[in-house]
Amino acid sequence: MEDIILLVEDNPDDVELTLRALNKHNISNEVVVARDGAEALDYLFATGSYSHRDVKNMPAVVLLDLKLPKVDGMEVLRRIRADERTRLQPVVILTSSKEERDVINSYELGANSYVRKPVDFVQFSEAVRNLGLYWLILNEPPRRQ
Amino acid sequence: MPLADYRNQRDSPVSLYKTISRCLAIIVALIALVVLVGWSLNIAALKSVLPNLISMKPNTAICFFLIGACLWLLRIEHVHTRGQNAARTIVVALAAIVILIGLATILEYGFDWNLGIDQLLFREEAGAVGTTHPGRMAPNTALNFIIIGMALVLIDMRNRKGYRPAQYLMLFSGVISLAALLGYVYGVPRFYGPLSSFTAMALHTAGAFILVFLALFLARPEHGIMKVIAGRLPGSFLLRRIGPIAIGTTILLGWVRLLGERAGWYDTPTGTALYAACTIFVFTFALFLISRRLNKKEVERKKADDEIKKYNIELTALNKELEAFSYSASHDLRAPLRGIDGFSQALLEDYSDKLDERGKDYLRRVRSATQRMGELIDALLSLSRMTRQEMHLQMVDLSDAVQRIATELQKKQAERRVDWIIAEGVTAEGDSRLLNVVMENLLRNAWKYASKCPRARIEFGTTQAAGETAYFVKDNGAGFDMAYKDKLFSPFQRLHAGSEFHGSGIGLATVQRIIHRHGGRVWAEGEVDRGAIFYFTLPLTKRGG
Repeated sequence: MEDIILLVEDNPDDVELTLRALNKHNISNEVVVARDGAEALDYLFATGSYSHRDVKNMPAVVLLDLKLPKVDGMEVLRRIRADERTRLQPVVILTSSKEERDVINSYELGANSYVRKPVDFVQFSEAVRNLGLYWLILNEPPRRQ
Repeated sequence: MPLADYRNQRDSPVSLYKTISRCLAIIVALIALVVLVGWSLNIAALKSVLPNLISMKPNTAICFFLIGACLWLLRIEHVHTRGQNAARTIVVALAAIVILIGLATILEYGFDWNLGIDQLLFREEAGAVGTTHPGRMAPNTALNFIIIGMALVLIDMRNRKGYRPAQYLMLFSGVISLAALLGYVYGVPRFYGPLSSFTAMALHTAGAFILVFLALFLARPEHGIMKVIAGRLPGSFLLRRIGPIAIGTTILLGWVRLLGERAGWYDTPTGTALYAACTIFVFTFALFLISRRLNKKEVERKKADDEIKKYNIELTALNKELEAFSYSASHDLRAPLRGIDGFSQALLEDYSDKLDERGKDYLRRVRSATQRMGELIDALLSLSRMTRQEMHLQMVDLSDAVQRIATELQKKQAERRVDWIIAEGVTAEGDSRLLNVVMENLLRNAWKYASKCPRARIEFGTTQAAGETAYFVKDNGAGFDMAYKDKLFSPFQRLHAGSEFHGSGIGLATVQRIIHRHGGRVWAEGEVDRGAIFYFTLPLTKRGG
């Protein structure tokens, strides 16, 4: 069972750049892209357009942006942590915001990590690579048997 | 929109009082001189004012002259220079003479001695009006001089609770002087000559004592009892207006009442009733007018207060808006930058074979411009954060902060040799975090602009500027052209090419914002290639390190 990355990002440029960065560093896992919070929740809880999915098949990591249309990042995180099925889902906040309160709030709501998207693309690419390597290879996701 | 300044400087008569005090000092000295002229030229009018009145004795005139001189020399309250110190010593010496003369006279009366001081300068004929010992001043006059002499010496002394002994001494003297004056106004000889077997106080002596009394209190209008009289608060305002009216009216009406009674217009009960009626009328009327004025002032003050409250509410709302703006700016402004930068890089990497050298160069410039913009956004956001944060005031050790920053800078570039001259023990009142930012910015600048200097030298210390303590950071680096000194503190205005010295151009703007928040000033002096000095003041500090 291949590890899936759920990328929750509304900015198409950022999606494109993230995918490209993952490719460049030979991280070939399947990347599911959700363009807003509602879509992300649909995917994770296997509702709406994703009702065919098996909920137990949790992604290895969710890369979650904070400012999203429909349902914003914090709310998505809250719902992930509130549901027994997804409570242990590894979530990495990947956002432009450096605001202290965003960082604190994210950790308070149970995010596993907070990464600020660098402006410089080379650094951004590095960050994506590091995230991919860490969460997909080094880190052990909480898989229930 | 400018706020109406309701803190009316005209309300406080402090400087007026000091001027009056100086004038009174001169007047007293002049009176003394006139009397002495009267003695030397034997002009009765100058000695006694009116023929049947007691003369002011020569020693009395001398003492008044010395007191006048002392009051003049005491006009400067805070002694800074050696000249002023010398003036204080002279005051003590002259006051000592006055005390001695008074004391000697008292002893002469007490032990019936003749120390030969009474007729030292001039002779008075025996049998002069109200004089038991020719040429000798009255005992109450002598006592007054002793008290006044002591008050002059102690004028700036205060005990731990802030009370001024000189003022209490003068109150006692004031009682003696006022009694004598009233004695003359109402024709009660006992008041100006309490010991009938001895000389009594002269009329102009009593008057001069009252002037000295006023001069001494008015010389220090900001201390002790005078705080209530010369202050800006409503009570003081009331006191200053009702006080003279009360005193003046009472004396005048009393005199008029006696006049009528002695002339037989009415008897004592009628006179008393009339006096009471007139006094009540005058006081009530005066109090009414003054209270009305006071109420009007209070209404004005309330209005100004309300204006301030309104501005405060507006400001808070503005700040909240700014905060929200900064927050969304941090998100929204950076996102497109990443796109520009990322896709330029993607072009460079994925299509490098289809691009010539110039094309690649263009893309590199696009990337570098994007990065610069990212830096600027970050700098702007942090600048706005500086001005929004609440300030927590405390004593900050600036020397310590400078030392820490210097060590850090040195660590980062250990190969640079820089002479650090850091004044010790410099403290100031302000927000610790913000002041640290100030010192970091100024020192980083000094470090940066002195980087091309083989023997760089960075100095931190304090100096005096326009009467207040100023802190400075000085370097001997690239300096700047003074012609552009007004641009120094504007955000993003740089006086050096970015290729020469890397920077966002926001450091000095940040420093200025923070210093202004502390109510201080910041300015700079510099010379191209000779270095620059940056000064700032922190007026919140009560006693600058």
